[in-house]
Amino acid sequence: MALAQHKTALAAVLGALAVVAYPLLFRDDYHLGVGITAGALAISTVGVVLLLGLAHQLAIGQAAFSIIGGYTTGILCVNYQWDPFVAMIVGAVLTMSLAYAIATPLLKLRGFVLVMATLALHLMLIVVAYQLPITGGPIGITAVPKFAIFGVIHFDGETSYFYAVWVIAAIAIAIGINIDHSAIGRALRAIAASEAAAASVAIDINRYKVQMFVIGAGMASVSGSLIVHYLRAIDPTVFGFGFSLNLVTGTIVGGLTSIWGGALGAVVIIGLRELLRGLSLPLWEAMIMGALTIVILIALPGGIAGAIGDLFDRIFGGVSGGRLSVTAPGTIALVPFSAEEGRGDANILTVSGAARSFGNLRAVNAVSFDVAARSITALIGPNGAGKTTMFNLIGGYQPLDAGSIRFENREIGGLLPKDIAILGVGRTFQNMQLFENMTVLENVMCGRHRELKTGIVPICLRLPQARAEERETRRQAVAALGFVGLRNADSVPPSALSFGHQRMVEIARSLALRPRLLLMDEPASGLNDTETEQLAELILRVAAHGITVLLVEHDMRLVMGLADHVVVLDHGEKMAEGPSERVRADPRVIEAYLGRPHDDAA
Amino acid sequence: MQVTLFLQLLLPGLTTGCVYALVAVGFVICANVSGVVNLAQGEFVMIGGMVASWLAAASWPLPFAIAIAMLVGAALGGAQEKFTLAPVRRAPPFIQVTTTVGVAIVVRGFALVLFGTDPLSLPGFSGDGVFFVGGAVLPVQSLWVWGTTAALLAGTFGVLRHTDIGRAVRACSINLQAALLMGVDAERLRVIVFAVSGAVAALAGAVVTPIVLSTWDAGISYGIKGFVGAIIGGFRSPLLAVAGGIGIGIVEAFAAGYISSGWKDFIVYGVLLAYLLIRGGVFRAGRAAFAAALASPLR
Repeated sequence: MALAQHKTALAAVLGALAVVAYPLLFRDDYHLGVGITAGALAISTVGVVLLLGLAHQLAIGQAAFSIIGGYTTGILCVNYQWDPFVAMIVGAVLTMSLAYAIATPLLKLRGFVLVMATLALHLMLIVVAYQLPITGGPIGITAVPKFAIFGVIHFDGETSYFYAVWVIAAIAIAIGINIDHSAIGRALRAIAASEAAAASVAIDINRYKVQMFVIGAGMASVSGSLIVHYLRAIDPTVFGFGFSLNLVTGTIVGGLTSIWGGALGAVVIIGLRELLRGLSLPLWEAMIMGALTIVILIALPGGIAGAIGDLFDRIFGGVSGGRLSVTAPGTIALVPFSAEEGRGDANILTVSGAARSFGNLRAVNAVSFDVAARSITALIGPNGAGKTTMFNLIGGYQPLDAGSIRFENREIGGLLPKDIAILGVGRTFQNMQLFENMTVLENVMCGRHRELKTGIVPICLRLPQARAEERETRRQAVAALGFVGLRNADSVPPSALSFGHQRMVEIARSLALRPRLLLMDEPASGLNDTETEQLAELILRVAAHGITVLLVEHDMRLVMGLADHVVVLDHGEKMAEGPSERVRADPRVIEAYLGRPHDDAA
Repeated sequence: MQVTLFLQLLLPGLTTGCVYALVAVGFVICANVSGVVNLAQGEFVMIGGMVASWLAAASWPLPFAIAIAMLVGAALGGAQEKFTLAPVRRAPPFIQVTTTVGVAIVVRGFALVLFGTDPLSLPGFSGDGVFFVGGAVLPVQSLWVWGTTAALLAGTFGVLRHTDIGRAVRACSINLQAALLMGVDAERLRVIVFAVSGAVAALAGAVVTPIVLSTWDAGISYGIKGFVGAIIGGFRSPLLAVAGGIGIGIVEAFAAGYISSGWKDFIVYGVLLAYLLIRGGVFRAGRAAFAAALASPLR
C-alpha cells in the first residue's frame, strides 16, 4: 500500500536515473542524438496523452504545431539572430494562440471535426512552408545555431544538449502529471464517463478540452523547436503527416492512461526506429507501429505503462481502501447556504406553460406549477406521464418548445445543463450515473467544481493555491459523504458498493455542488425497504438544511410521507396539484393513477 | 478562351471529385451502420490504385488486375470491421476511431513496404487518347471515371432503396438502436458494408490512377477531401455527400488553375477549415447528445 501510493515518485526516480545514466553509457554523438530526439518527442507525446488519453480528442495533427515552433525557431534564430530560448517561447505562444483560436469554435461541433481541422491546418502549413520565401521553400532553413538560454548558457556539446532537452521533457511530464491529478483531470475523466452527469455538476466540457488542446499544441511546438536545434536545419518534410502518426501510435503503445505512457511512447518510437534501422528494414516502421497500435487498443488499452502499473499493483498490494463502514448519519458538516440565501417563502422555481413534443407525442403540454423555497415537492404520475421529460426540461437536458422556467426569478429555459448547475440546481439520475473511472471520493469531489477558482497556470505548476484548493475540495467531499452516512468508502470505485450505497454517493455528489434546488429522479427505484427509509430520512435532512427538493417518484409511500406539495401529471398535462393529503384524496388522481383506493398508500 | 479554360478546369475537377464523392459515400454509409468514422477509407482508394498498377505492370490483363484490386479492398474492409472494430465495439468512441487510424497506418505502411516510394501508373482502360469538349482537352479515361462513378452511385442508391440489405442500412442510419432491436443482424451487415465500401474505394482508386498516378501516401488526401464531402452532408445524406465530394474536386481544380497550383492544397484545406469554423460559430451542439445519454441505460 505504501509503495503503491508512491508509484509516481518511484517512476520519476527510475526515469531520472535512466536519463542521467544514458550519456554515461552511450558517449558517441550518434547515440546521444537518438537520446535527444527521444527527449524532444517525449514533450510532444505527453501532450498527446493530455489530448487523446485525457480529453479523448484524436490528436493526429500535432505536427502542425511542431511546424510552427520549428519554423519560428529557424526564422528568428537564423534571420534575426534571436536567442534560441526566447525564440522557442515565442513559437510556443504563437502556436498556443492559434490553437486557442481554432479550438474554441470547433469543439462546439460534435464528432471528429477537430481532428480534420488540425489535419487541414497541418497540410496548409506544409504548403506555406514550401511556398513562402521566408521559410526557404523546399530547401528550408539551414545553419540553425545550437540551443542556448539568454546567450548565457550554451549547449554546444551533445551531452549538455541531451540533458537540456530532458530537463524540458521532465517539466512537460511534471505539468502533465499535475493536470492529471488535479480537478481538471477529474473533470475530463468525468466527461469521459458520463457527459450528462458531468454537466449536472457544472463541469464545462469545452473549456477543459480547449485547455488540453492548447497545452498539447504548446508542447508540440517546444518539441519542434528543440528538434530543429538538434538537426540545425528545418525543411517542409521534417514535420510531415508521418511525424504526427508516429506520435499517436507511440503514445498508444506507451500507454494512453498515464503521463508516463507518453514518455515511454517516445522511447518506443525511437527504439523501434533504431531497431529497424539496425535490421535494414526502415520502411517497415509505419506498418509495425500501426499493427502494434491496433493490438494495444484491443487487448491492452493502458499500453505498456498501464501494464507495468497493474503488475506493480498486483505485486505491492495496489489500491486498497479502509474497511467500508456505513455510519449513522453525522450532523451536518456541510452547511449549504445561510438562511438569507434561501429567501423565505418565495417560490424558488416557477414553471409556466412548459411544453415539449417528440414528433406527434406531446410529452409535456402546457404544464405550470411552482416549487416553494425549502419545500419538498413531488412530481408524480403514471408511466409515460411526462415526469422525466419535465425534469429534463428543468435541468436543461432537453430544450423547451414553449413556456418558461424560472429559477430564483431568473429564466433558465434555454440554458445548457452546466449553466443551470452553476446557478445552483443539482440533480440525480434515474439510471444512476456515477463516474466508474474514479473512486467514490473523487466522484464526490467532482461535485465541487462550481466553486473551483484556481486557474490553469497554478494547476499546471501545482502552486500553493492549487494545493490548498485541492485540500478544501477533499475536505468538503469527505463531509458530503459523511452527511449521507458513508465513511471510509473513499478509495474504492463506486461499483464496489451496494446499489443503495451507490445512490447515496450520487446524492453526496449532487450535495457537494451546494445546490439550492435538488432535482431527484426516482431516487427510490431499485432500493429495498430499509434503504428507502434511509433515503426518506436523508431527504428530510437535506430539506432541513434549506435545500429545496423536487423529486419524481413512483413510490407513493415515500412521496406521501415526505412531500409538502404534490404535482400530478397525466398524459403530459397537469391533472392536480396541492398538499399531499388533498392530492391523495382527489378522486381523479385515485382513478387515473392509483387505480383504486389503497390501504397501504399511507 | 475563357470558356475553354473554365471547362479545362471544371472537367478534370469533376474527375477527381468523383473519387472524393465515392469516398464520402463510403464514410457516410460506414458511419451509419457502425457508428464509427472510418479514417482508413482514403487508404483503400490508394491500395486499389497500387494493386491494380502493380499487377498490370506484371502483365496481368487489366480486368483481372482491377478485379484483384477490388477483392483486396473488400478483404481489407471486411477484415477491418471484423478483426479491429468488432473487438472494440464497447470501447469509448475515440478508441474506435483511433483503431481506424491504426488500420490506415498499417495499409499505408504495407503499401510502402510492398510498392516503394515511386508513383505507379496504369494505362488508360481504352488507350491513352484524348477527346475535346468545347476546346478543353481531356483524357479518354475521364469517361471511365465518370461512367464508373455514375454506375457505382446508381448501384449504391438502388441497393439502398430496393434491397433488404439496403433497407437494413437505412434503418440503421435512422435509428441504430431500434434497427438492432428489430432483428437487423448488425455484425453481418457491418462486415458486408465495410467490404463493399472497401471494394468501391479500391475500384475508384484503380479507375483514376491512369490520370493521377498512385503513390503510397495519397490516401490521406483522398480521405480528408472525402471527409469534407461527408461532413457537408452532415454524415446523414449520401446524396449531399456526393455533391460535397464533387464540389471539393472542382474547387481544387479552380484553385489550381485560377490562383496557383502551389497554393492549391492551401486553398482547398482553407475552405474546409473556414467552413468548419463558421459552422462552429453558428451551431449549438450538445442537447441531442445529452438526451441520448439520458435515454440509454448506464454506459
